Parts: sequence; C-alpha cells; structure tokens
Amino acid sequence: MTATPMNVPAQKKRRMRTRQRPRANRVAQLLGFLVAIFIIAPYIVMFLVSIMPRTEVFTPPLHVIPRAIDFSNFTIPWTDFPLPIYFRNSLIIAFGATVLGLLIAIPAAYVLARFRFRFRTAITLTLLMTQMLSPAMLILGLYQEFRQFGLLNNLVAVIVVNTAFTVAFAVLILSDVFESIPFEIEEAAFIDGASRFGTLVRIVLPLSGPGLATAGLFLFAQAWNEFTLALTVLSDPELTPLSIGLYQFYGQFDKQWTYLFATAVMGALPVILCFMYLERWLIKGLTAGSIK
Amino acid sequence: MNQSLQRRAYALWALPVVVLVLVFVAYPLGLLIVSSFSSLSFSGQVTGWAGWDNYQALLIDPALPNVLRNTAGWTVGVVAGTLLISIGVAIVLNENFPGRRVVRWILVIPWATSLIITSLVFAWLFDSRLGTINVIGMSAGILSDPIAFLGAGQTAKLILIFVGIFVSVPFTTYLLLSGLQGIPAEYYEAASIDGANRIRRFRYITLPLLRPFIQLAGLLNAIYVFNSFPIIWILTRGGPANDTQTIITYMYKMAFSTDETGKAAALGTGGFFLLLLLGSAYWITLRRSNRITG
Amino acid sequence: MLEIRNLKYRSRLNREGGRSRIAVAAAIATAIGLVVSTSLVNASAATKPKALAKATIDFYMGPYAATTDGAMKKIINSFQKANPNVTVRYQTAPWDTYDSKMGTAAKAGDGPGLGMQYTYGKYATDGLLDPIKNWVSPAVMKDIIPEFLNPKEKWVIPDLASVRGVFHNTAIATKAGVTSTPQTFDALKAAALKIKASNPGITPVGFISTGDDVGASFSYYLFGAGGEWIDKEGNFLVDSTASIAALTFLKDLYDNKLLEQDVTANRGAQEERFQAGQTAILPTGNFFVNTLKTNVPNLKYKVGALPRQSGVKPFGVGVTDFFVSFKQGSKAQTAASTALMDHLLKPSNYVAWLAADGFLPITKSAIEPYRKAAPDMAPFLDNLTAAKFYPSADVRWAKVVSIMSESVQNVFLGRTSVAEGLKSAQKQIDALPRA
Repeated sequence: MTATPMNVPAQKKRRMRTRQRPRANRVAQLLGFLVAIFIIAPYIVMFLVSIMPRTEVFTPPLHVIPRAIDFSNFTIPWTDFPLPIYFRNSLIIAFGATVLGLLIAIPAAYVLARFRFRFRTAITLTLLMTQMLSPAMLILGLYQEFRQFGLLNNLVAVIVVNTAFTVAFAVLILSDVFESIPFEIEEAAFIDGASRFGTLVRIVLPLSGPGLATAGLFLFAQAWNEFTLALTVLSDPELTPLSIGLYQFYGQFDKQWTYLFATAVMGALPVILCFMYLERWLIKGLTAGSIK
Repeated sequence: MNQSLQRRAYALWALPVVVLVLVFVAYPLGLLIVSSFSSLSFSGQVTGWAGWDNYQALLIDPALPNVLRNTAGWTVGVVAGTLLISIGVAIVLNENFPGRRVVRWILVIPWATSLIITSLVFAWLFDSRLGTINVIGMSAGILSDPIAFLGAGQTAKLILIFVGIFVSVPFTTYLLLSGLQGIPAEYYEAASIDGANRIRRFRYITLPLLRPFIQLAGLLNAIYVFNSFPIIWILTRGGPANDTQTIITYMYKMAFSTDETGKAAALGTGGFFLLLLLGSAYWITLRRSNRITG
Repeated sequence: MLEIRNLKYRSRLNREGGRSRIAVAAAIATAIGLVVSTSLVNASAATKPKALAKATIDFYMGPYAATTDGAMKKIINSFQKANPNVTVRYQTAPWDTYDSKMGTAAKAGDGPGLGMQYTYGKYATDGLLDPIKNWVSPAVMKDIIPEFLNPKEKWVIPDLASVRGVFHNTAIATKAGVTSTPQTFDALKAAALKIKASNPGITPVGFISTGDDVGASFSYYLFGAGGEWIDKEGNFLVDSTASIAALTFLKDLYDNKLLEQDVTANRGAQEERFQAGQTAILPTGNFFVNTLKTNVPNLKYKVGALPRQSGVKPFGVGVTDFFVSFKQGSKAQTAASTALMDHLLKPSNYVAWLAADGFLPITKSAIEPYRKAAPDMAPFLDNLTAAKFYPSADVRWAKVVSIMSESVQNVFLGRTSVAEGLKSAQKQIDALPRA
C-alpha cells in the first residue's frame, strides 16, 4: 500500500499535490478500520442470514451465526423464481437510463458551464427542483400520463422517466466538471478550426473521466434500485425488474428472509462492484471545480 | 458571425433536458396540484372543484402538527448528524494509512445498496424481540429483557435518525473528501510553521475552505432526507401512533391506506412548496454569503 | 388457430386434387360438425362452454402464500389452452401496494375483468364495478355456501375464507402448567400469568396493534365481549360497553406485561416470534398452519377457539376477501371474465390452489375434495359457517382501522385512558363521510 493517492494520475486540472507523508497515520488507521467495521457489520449479518437454511432461521435458541450452511438460498431464486428475468430487466433499465442520461446531460452541462445566457439560473433552479420530487410523489399523474400516451408496460418509457428524475444531478455535476476545465484549451482548438461540438467530444470529455464516471454511476445506481415507478407502470411479469422482484419476497404473507437477503446480496453486487471499481474517480468527479 | 444568434443556437443543447423534465416531472406535478384543489371520489376520481377544502381538512387534522414536527426533527437530525460524522470520516480518510483503500471501498456499500435493502437489514437488526441486537445483547448477558427499539416513540425516532445518517454518510464523506483533497498542503505547512496546532489548523484552514462543500452537502442531504420514504415506512410505518410520521409517509398513508386522496394531494403539494421555499432561501443566502466572503 | 388449420386442410386438398372429392368431404364434415355442435349446446355449461370471442382481460390475485403465484399461472395456462381466443394478463403485487396498483389502473379505466379485492366499497360507490348479476354465472352462484351469500350483496362474491384460531405453543404451555386452551377471558389471563411466571423472557399473548390487522385483532376481543362493529343504522360503534370491556381487558394484560409490548410489531413479525418460541399464544388464521409446517416443522402447537367473556356464545372470526369485476368495455371481455371465474372455481383447480395456500373454500362442491386434500385444516373447515365477519368492505373501514390502531396504541402507551381513547376514536369515526 503506497502512500500516494494512486487515483490522481490523470488529473491535469490543477497542480498536482502529492500528499506524501513520511509515516502512516496509525490513529487514522484505527479510526478508519472502526468505521469500516461499523459500516459493514449490518451487511455481514444480512449475509449470515442468507446462508442459513430456511428452517433454521426461527428455530430456537435465537442466534446470529448459522448452525448449518445452505447455499440453496442463492440458487433457488434462480430456479424457482424468475430471477434471470428480473436481472435482465434491471440491466436494461439501468444501462438505458445511464446512457440516455449522459447523452442529454453532457450537452446541457456544457452549455451551462460555458455560456451565460438568460435562462441559465432558471434552468439550474428547475433542475434542482426536480431533485425535490420523486416518482413516488407523482405516481398517479405519471400513470395517467403513461396511459394517455400508450406507454404502459414499456421498458423504454421507464428508462426515460428514470432519466427525467435523475438527469438533474448529472447535469449539475458535469457542469461543475466542465467549468473547471480551462477554457484556454478549447480556445486553442477553435483557433485551429474546431467546432464547439468537436472540442466537446475530443477535448472536454476525455478530461472529464472522473465526472463522467460519477454521473454515470449515480444514474446507474438510481435506475437499478428504482421501485415505485416500475411497480406501477410495469405490470407484465416479463418486464419486472429486480427491485420489484425482491420486494415480493418481503411483501408476501410470510416473509422469506433467507431468499430475500440472498437475492439482496446478489442484486447489490453489480452496483457495489461498479462503485468499487470507479471509487478512485469518485472523489475527483464529485467536485472537480470549486462550488460556487 | 452573429454571436448572440449562435449563442442562442447552443442554448438548444439544453433543450432535451428541459423537455424531458417538463414532460415527465412538471406535468405530473401539475396533476398533483390540480388534484389538491379537486374533490376526489372514494376511489380517487376527480368529481369537481373543491377550492381549499382539502387544505382545510388537512389543517384540522389532529396528526398534522406531529407530522410537521417529526419532519423537521428527522431532517435536521439526519443532516446535522451526517455532516458532523462525515467531516470526521473524511478527515480520517484523507490521511494515509495502509488499508485506506479498503475502508473507502467499504464506505461505498450503503451508498450503492438499494435503500429498501438497507432498511430491511436494519428492520432485522432492531426487531424488538428477534432482532440481532437483542439476540446478541441477551445472549451476552447485557440485556435481561429485549428492548423494543422501534416500539416506543423516543427510541424509534433515534433509530430512524441513526439509519438515515448511516445511509447518508458515504455520499457526504466522499463529497467532503474531494473538498479536502483540494486544499493545498502548503497552507497547512505554512500554518504549522507559524505554530498553529491541529485544532487551529482545522478551524482556520480546513473549515473555511470546506464550507462550500459542507453547504452543498447540507442542501442535497436535506432535500433527500425530507422526501425519504423507505426507511421510515419499512421500520415503523410512521408509528407508534404517528410518532415517526413525516410529510411524505403521511401523504402515502392517506393516499394508499386510508383513501383520503384529496388530503394526500394537498399535503404533497404543501410539502413540495415548503421544500421549494426553504431550499431556495438556503441557496440564495448561500450565494450571497459566498460572494461577500469570497 | 382456426385459420391455420383451414389453410393446411386446403393445401392438402389441393395436392390430392379432385373437386368432387372436396365436395363430398365438405358435406360429411358439415354434417359431423352439425351433430357435434348441437350435442355441445345441449351439454352443461361447466363441461364444454361455447368458444369465447376474442378478448383480453386483466386478472388480479393477491399474494396469499408463496404458492399462490404458481397456482394462478397453472390455472391461467389451462384456461388459455381451453380458450385460445382469450388472453389473460395476470397481475399481482405485494399486499402493501396491491390496492394502489389496482386502484391506479381502475382510475385510468384499466380495471381488471376479474380480480381479488378486499376493499371494494369505494370502487362500488364510484360506479366502477360490474354488478355480479352481469358476470357471475348461475352455476357459481348456486355453488357458493349460503352463509357466505348475502342476498343484498350486489357487487361481489367471496373468493376464499380464512378462519381464525388461537395457536398455543404446547411446550411452553406444558412447562407453565396450562393444560387446556383457555376458553374465557379470565382463563386467558390466568394462563398468561402462569406462562409469564415459568418463562420470564417470553411474550405470553400476542396482539397486533398496527397495520391492517388491528381490525381482526380487535375483533377477536370485541366479539368475545359480545359486541359488534356496526349498529343497525350502519353506524360504527367503537365506544360501546362491549368495546370498552374488550379494551380494558387488553390494557390490563398489557400493563401486566402479559400482552405483546411492542405496539409496532405487525402480524408478520408476531407470527415469526411464535415460530421462534418467543410468543406463546397467538390468534391468527388457519393459513398459519402451512407457514409452521414449512418453516418450523418441529414446533408443537395446539389450536383453540377464541376466548370470550362469560355469558357470550362461542363464536368464530372469519375473513373473506372478494372477487370483483370492473366494468369492461365489451361483452366479450365480460364473457371471458365469467368463464375465467367458472374455471377458477372448478373444484379440481380451486381445491388444488387453496390446499397449497392454506385457505378455505367458499363453494359447496369444494368442501369434500378439500377435506381430502388438506386434512390439517379439518377443524377449521367445521367452523367455517359459524364465523362472524368484520365489515371490511365498508368505505370507512380502512380509516376506522387506522383510527382504532392509534387509539389502541395511545391507550397501551398510557397516553390516554380507555374511555377517553375510545370516545375520541368514536368522534373521529362519526365524522367520516359515508358511502
């Protein structure tokens, strides 16, 4: 484990500061580990329950460590329940929302970052406002709207609505990121005859890796876990995503905790792995520029 | 070339976002507001104009003062707790130590996991009899009777705030960590040469430079927490006896459990405008104070 | 499918050639067809219905048990195979969101052709439902157990029934010296005291103070005290003498730590505690038998009748949900709904579903086959017709339950007295708009 933050190599936005400390901070290490243990403990309990045999969960005496291990809790959801379908639908929705979100957020963020025009504040405020609403609040109106436009049981429509509620965040992050890229670089390209669009694609975007990663991750995670909208407008069992499928283990007559937690573990893994992989970029992505 | 025309053309790049938001957020919001002023049949069909009737019914609801108080307490509790803890965790994670990477990875888990799953895990942990905390406490001899964590008003509120903080700390920590990493090391070195100890360095360098990040985190957290639904719904349903009912859970209860859709729409609309008002006021004062102090 | 068959037939004819042969074949085919179809018409509707016109309907069923989904899909598949023109879209949702899902669809005009619904009153009031005379076949109407059929009922028929019983953990009871299931309020308290003395960490009697189940929970003791929910004029009566007696009894148990202390523990949680041996006595439905068999097969328990005050006749509490049909756009859809209802209630389908799920049938034809298929449920089956029901279909019921839940919780937590709590509940309930 080196002392340098190895996640800094591509950062050209500001002068690099190597935080090379002569020795490791042991106090911080202790505190850090305590924090980590505290955070992961609940999920470890969840995992322990997921490997317990179903009949053991409530058999006294009450216990935390499994007496026997039963991995069928992880396989039965795939064989006896339509888990493959759930996963497939969640992947479609999440990827779709991420791609669509980035596609429309990038140009908008660029414009907000580079230009000062009349509606700038209005648009920013509107975007902030959408963060204050959630599909749960507006569900009745959304259903009516979907029905009017014939969009029920349509994964594309769900993708679009997910994007509508989360794109604001992507725009706000990306506009910060773009703003922190020195305009001089683009100016140089203009002189050479490049168009705005060209510089956006060939210069600005490559420099915004962390910001894009952060925005993309948010869009993905939000869409992957979205529940209320999918529940209401997707009634076709072939189109059920994982968030709803999972809830069926819980909402039923007798909660099937072992299947629920096992499926929860499997369902959370994709997002967690993505987050971990891109974790080093998260910090830079969140606030690449100064907050105004 | 006509500069302003070109500029306006580029404004079109923002059009897809605006259109998307108008169609899928503004329109249903409009329907919500209209519903709040309509009289609704038992099954929620619009049967006419009700003027302020729904709002009046809402204002005389005996549960309303409780709901508003709970919402305020919940939001302030979670945001304040999150900020305090996140600053600490961010500072720790800003230091170098072996295993820092693993800690940062683990910190990501609550953030990446669906809120519903996390709430279910805590429901399992805090169940008043079969919950893990009680089981461990009893078998370790610490507890003689299981604690009904979620069954009594005061403890239920604390547990909910705890869970709210738990799920908000990762995002806020990362946000503050980015801010910390942006503070030049030279400042600290200069300060320690001048004889400032850790506390002074923190007060006069870290905090001021971190302030914009703290303010942003505070605002974003406040918005999310105000509207947060799954945690309360899964752990206490707003109980016992409306002790933990917030605006959004009460709205949901009225809309879907007790068929009072008119009042629900009124509460939803009212809640939205309240949040809008507070959020805008906060944002505007932020910008003004930042401009003054630079 | 008919078209395809015709095409194949035609092409084979063309290959084999010969117009005259076609004419003869056609004549014979027509003759056979006529004979067969007239005999079909004469056959009873239950064995060979005439082909349905093309239609698509939505079918809603709640998640009664883990086996419900599979059973429904099987029934729908067999129905669609027999009626290829009809498409049935199966819908379900967790209980939490079941009504809102159906409601949202209904409000937009997409109400199901056939659906299970437990709170249909509001839809009836708003004119969204099709009266049963329009869509329930005479055969089904005749088959329903008479006690479940209210002659004044216009909108629904029951779908299944559950009967409540009191589950006792045998091991705990024996250890406490409780030899028989308590039949009266006093006996219940005595048993609870004995259990508390010999098993200090355990909850003697479970009681649900939260969620939808408060209605059932309170009913046990309200009826046990000889009371009713609604008086003859249709007013809800929650501060009657019986009601006060019931709540006083419960409050007494609560204060002595004989009743479940956690007022936010819902039925699912308390059933789990019974399974884990942490609650000794729990009144709940017969479906719990299946849960116990699946999750804790080694748990020994006994089922007893609901306790009552001295002077009150023995009673049972039953719950049925209902089948509704929302007004559909076309006759074909209504006909499809009728046919699906027939198919669903056919004993072979109906009994298989209910036996797996752990619920009781409401048709006469299903009783004996059910007894054979689910012998564990025999004692409940015998109590089926003596059960009392609470007014779950009244438009005010959901709000009444919510108000009662708050009052009960406030009384238990000592924030108000029994009399005051019920009086304020009565005031709020009186202010509720009626149908």
